[in-house]
Amino acid sequence: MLSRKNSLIHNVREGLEELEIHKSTRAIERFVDELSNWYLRRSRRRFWEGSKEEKESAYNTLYETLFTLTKVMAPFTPFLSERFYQKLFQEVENGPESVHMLDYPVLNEKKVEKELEEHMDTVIKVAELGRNARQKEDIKLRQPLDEAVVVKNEDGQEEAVELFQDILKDELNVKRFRVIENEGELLHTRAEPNYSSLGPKFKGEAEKVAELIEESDGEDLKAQFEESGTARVNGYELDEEDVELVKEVKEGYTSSEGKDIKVFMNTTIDEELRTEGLARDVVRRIQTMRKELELGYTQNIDTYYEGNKELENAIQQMSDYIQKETLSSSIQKGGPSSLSGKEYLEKEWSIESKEITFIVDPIPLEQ
Amino acid sequence: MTENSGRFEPIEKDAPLPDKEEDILQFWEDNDIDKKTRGEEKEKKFGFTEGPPTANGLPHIGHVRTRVVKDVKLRYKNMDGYQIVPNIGGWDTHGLPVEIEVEKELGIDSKEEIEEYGLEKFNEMCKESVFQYEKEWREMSERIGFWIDYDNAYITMEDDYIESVWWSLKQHWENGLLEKGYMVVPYRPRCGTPLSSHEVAQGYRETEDPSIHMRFKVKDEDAYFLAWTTTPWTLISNLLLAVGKDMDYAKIEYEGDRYYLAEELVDEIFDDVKILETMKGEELVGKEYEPMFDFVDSENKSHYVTHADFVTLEEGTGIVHVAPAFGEDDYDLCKSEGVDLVNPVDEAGRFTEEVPDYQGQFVKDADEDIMDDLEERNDLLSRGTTTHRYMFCWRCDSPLLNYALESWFIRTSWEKEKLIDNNEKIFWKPEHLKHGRFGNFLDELKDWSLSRNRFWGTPLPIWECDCGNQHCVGSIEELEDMAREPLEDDFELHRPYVDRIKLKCPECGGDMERVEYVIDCWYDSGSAPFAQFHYPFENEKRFDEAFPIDFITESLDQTRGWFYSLLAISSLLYDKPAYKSCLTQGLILDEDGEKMSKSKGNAVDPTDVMNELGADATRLYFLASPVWNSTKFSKDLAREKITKTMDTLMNVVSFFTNNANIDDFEPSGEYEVNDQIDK
Repeated sequence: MLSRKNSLIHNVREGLEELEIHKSTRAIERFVDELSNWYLRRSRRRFWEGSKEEKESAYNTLYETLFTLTKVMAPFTPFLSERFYQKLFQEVENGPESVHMLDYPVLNEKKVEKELEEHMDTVIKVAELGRNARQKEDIKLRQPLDEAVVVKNEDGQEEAVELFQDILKDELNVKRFRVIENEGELLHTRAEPNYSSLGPKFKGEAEKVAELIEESDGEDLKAQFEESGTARVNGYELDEEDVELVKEVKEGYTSSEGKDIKVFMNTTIDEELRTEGLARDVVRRIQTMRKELELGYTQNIDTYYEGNKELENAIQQMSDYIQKETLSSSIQKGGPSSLSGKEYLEKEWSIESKEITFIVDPIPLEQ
Repeated sequence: MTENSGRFEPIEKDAPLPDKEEDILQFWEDNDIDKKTRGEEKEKKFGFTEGPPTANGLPHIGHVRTRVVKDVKLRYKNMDGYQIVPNIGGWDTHGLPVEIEVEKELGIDSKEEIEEYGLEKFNEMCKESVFQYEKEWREMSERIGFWIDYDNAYITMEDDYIESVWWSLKQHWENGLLEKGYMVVPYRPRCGTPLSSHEVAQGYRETEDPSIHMRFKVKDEDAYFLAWTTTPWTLISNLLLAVGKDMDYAKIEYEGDRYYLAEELVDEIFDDVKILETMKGEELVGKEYEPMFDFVDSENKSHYVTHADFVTLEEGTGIVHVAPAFGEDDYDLCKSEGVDLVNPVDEAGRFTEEVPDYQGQFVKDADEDIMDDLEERNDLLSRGTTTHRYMFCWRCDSPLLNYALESWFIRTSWEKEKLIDNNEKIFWKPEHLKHGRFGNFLDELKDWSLSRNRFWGTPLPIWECDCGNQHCVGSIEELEDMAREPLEDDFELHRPYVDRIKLKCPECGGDMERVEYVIDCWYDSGSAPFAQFHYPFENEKRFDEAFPIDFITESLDQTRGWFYSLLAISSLLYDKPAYKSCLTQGLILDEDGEKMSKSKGNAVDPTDVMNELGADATRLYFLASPVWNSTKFSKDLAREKITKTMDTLMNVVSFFTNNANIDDFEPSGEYEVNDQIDK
């Protein structure tokens, strides 16, 4: 982020000096977008629950970034920049009366880490492809998957994924992440009959041969062709033109391809993953209810549930996780023996066509 | 929620933007922030000059963008340690358009009526007219966040400004670049004023005109010269016929008569004729012919065939009819042949008493009658029309005439190389303008026709004596020194005040009177770089700090206007470009891509936009696409900026504020970055 910030300074200055001001403006827009949709989203946790060191790093980074951004934007959005400056920075920095009296940010070459930024670009790209792959199979993001695999075709990519493993696992909601050299292991060959060739060759038997081809092992046929130029299937001799060898993603995987990267996702969902997925859905619903009650970030609750058996099982298995994510001091089946007197919320939900009711009961704060 | 007692104040992200901006405006005003920021003396200087608008109309959304672009660059430079010199706006106030407005208001439309009304009163009305909307312009500029000083703006009609202009004219005078001449210039008969070449360039368009072939009887020979014209009225003062001496001509027979014309064009003009003989053009040179009309008196030789380089086979007959007063080539040819430079047309484009048959008629109106006349005499061989490009007045759309007029010129063509060289030094954006639109214009450079036969403008400071002496005045002091009488209390550098000043002629001691002209108002604004400082009478140091100006930006149409006049004047005065960089701007279109106009009802009101969206969103919108392109604008399009960038940013800031306050965060100067993503 700090590197990106410095790159921003460089890009904005360049646009203004070269009289291509739109480039400066667009750089700012992209930066704001990345700041919010990537950096902040990925870092939220550290602000809320991080260790002392993590918080110090995160807060200072964000503070410095916002301050610099305010100055960078001052010539473009003088009013907004002044507002930010007056509310956040003027007093803390003991600075001059107005943001417009400050010095325009200067590039700190040392902070620009080109390589790091490129890694981040790779990571963002991989995240996008991962999401695409899920969409293809209609698997929602909340459903954890076992594995995501990146096929590398450039050196930096392995390093990027290594460096940002945690982010990627979280972003893509997978348990494991892997980089491979050759996509071969995730692909398999399927044999398809080429009717225009089979017809004249086998005439009446063409249909039968076609069926045999479809049922055969594509890899095997491929190997045979490679060795001798012909292949035998149940006694029938085939030439290369009779068969179309199609490369496909192995069963249980889906893929998405970008300019220089390809990402595969393992789509097999076992019990455990399924349970986790349901748990996340539960968390999401409870969080929505918290928002509806306009509860503060630190407000604890007691949560109660009743409904579909599968959901109840999932909740019980993942109760630790759910409690942590929703700030529930307790999560119990049934209903409260007595309500705290403060506002509570009861709501019925449908999760994957299974019905369940939650009660969210805020715990009164210590007086 | 608890009251916020943290270090950082909440940002009120849900409050309407325009309201918050009003608060900021108040804050800036209460604390004089703009004055403090721009008023600071800094070592590094950034020269700027505003292209002056005229405040006789409301500012429109295009003006808003112009200012936004200026402002972003100035704010950037200012924050980067530069002092903006000068940090003032400018107003353009002279010129014919202002006179026309006031004429309309008074219900008059001729120069005689203006003089009858009284020049002092008329000029006072002009002064008021140009500031009619000053308030709206200033309000718009302030609201958009444009921090330029309008209290101290330069104004082209102020004496200080005009004095600087006079000074510069005197420099040209002393360098022999300002002189009286006769030049065939595009002339606007309705208003009685010549136009400069860059004004004409703005008004060319397609139109329909007569297209006729006529014949001139060769003297002492049973034959005719065949010629062609689209301006029958110019035949009244035809004095020569021109041929190309190396071109091939033919004598043909047609309906019993013999005609001379270019051999190549015979088949184009005639269907089936016999070529009797052929000859080179030079064989025709010297042959005399009967005058077409008897109106004009010509003392010297006339009505014969001569060679001219401009004869072509592109159109016509290869034999060109020449009348001295109505074409540049014609004029030059007659001058070199020693033929009289007759002109039977008056200032309003009407035939004079020299031409009794058509006296008082506007020349173009006389075309039909003249063609009828020729037809009756059997001298008209074809009568049709043609559609071609012709020049029209960019302001009032009346057709311009080429006219040999007494005019004062700045001989920019003599210093053409200087202009071209200085142009090379300018950083143009987009780059192609340098050798394209602007460069081409410089390549075709003509002299600057400076004088105007009007009232509301900078007076041309030239006094003439009966003894033949001419004198150019370069300052008020010089004027006072040479004047017969002391200047009156209410004296100002305008007509009619300057007209009353008689000077003592240094040659013969007699009375010198000022020529009646005012100057082209483009010269006024082109003088801004020095005149805005009242240089050289004051502010020499400031001028040196600012010149050449670092940056200007205005609409693309200024390539034929202000950008040119700035370069021309600075090249002649200093042999330097007036500006180091120039960013051109395109038009603002409506959301369908159509030009905005009041009549179409699709014009967006800037005040309306500010009130609804605020200035920041508007600024971001304009600055997000290349400034030199035409850009669509609508409130909805600009609103997207708010949601996309501004709201997003506000959410981030709110997130920070809320959490930082909860965690009692205190920024530390040095800190350990412990997460890669922070890096």
